[in-house]
Amino acid sequence: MGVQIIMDGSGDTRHEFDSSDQESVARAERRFQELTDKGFRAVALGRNGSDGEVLRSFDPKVERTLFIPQLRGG
Amino acid sequence: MARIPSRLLDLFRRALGSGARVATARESGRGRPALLRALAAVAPQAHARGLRLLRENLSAEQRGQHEKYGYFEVVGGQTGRQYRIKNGAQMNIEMLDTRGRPAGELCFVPEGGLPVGDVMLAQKLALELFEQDALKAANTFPSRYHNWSLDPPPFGNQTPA
Repeated sequence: MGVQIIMDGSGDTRHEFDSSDQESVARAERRFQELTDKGFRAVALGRNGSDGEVLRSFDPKVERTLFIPQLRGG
Repeated sequence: MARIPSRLLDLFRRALGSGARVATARESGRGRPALLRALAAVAPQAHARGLRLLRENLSAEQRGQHEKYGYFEVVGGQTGRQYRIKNGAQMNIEMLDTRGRPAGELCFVPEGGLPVGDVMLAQKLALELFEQDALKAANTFPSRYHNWSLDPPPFGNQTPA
């Protein structure tokens, strides 16, 4: 199982997908593409706060992907 | 009872995020307490989720710092520079000098009016994983407290009259 976590005004919205189910993986890949096209940054989260990794393309093996909205100066 | 200016309400809405619902006195018909109830009722859920997500993704050391001091430190993934991320959603990042003293401030946030925990997590991951992009987006300011590097030695280089 994988989960895509999207930061938003409610805190976050989570979408789980089953990496053994083609349809579920395809939906997750579409969501990945849509969000990154909008400027979200996808990060594979490490365990217990260990180093994560920026994802340039969808990887169904990644357990937890966090989507961070585009950054701007405050 | 005095009306709350719409500009102030707008700032409240921005601070609370897009999911927040803040009723005006006119909308609720019950005056200022409705605004306070709305702030209390809506904001904590989003903020609690944001803080939980933040805590889940801090290292043990960062979590300890955050619980004890209300800030945590991160190392820039590309420069190795140290940053201190304090509780807050704006003007809450200090760049530290090599001795761990504040040397300047950074301000960058993710778009979308996110709760504080989300903002702080985005700042941490950005500095650790795509520091240069974060610095490009950021506004920088001199330290509010002290510019240690430019500080003359106390009473140094002064010629007696």
